[in-house]
Amino acid sequence: MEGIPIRTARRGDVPSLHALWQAMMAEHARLDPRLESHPEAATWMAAQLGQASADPHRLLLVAEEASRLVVGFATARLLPFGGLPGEEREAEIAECFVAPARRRRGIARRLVARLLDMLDERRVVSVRLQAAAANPGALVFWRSLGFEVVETILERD
Amino acid sequence: MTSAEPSGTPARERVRPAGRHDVPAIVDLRVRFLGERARLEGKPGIAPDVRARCEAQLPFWIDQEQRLVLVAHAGAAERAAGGPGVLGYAMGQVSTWPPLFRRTQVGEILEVFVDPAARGLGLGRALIAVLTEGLAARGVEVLRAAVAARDATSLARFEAQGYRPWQHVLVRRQDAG
Repeated sequence: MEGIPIRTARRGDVPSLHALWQAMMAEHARLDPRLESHPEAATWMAAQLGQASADPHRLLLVAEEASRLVVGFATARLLPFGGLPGEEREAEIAECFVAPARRRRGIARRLVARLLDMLDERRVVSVRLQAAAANPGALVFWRSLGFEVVETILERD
Repeated sequence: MTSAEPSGTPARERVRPAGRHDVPAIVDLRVRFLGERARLEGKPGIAPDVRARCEAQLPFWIDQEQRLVLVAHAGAAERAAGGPGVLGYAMGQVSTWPPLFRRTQVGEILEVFVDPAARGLGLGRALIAVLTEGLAARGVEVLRAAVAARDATSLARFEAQGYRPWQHVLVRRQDAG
């Protein structure tokens, strides 16, 4: 497939991933003040990303331009599986973000398509994710990839 | 709350904290709740050992400090007529979320279920109201409840009590083609 290459993240990508993650959180907070980050969120996430890059139950993909600039990322984690009859292998897409200046080029769609292929290879039956209620564009995007809203998380102060 | 059973006991007065003696009744209701939720989420079903797991977990959950388990019980008239004593249950917990979003002390409403034969009496509303108050009294910063998107009745019930959509959970079946 043509376009910016998609590859598995390496430990050296953590600073770029962290910067993109912070941009993602800032964008979410602008959409909905209830999504404002915790004061310790950046520190906490830096540690999470460092661990995730070495965790076999996590998948991290990046979209990297020829200049070695990482402009998008997507992550998933395999959920615990008991192996009992009736139980399914499930995974969760935790993040998917593309720098605003690089949008509308199909990068997010290719990141997710690659993630879904990798989850297929791991015999995952069902993939879930959360999207902000204040972000209708995200719902359109995910629905176009075959996702269906099954639950709404409601909040009250 | 103005809903009342035919014999006149307000729904809210029929909600009380669960005790260990309620476990068999809650297990029966919870197995039905999990089956209903799986159906609403389009899942093929529930694991065959769900009942055994519920029987093992519930006594611990009832005793846990951070967890609240409530039951809605039948009125005197129904009990005298030999009907089931427990008509619904609700479960919530106080949890500390990772420092991602600003508020980390969360009161989570995990499950609310009323026997279909006892719906329309205001028991679901009463369970939500009492659970909300119980969790709020424990000093949480925010309350959250996950409701099946196809369950318009429950969504409306929560919204009527001040809850507003925050996140949507989306699922893709990999075998759906």
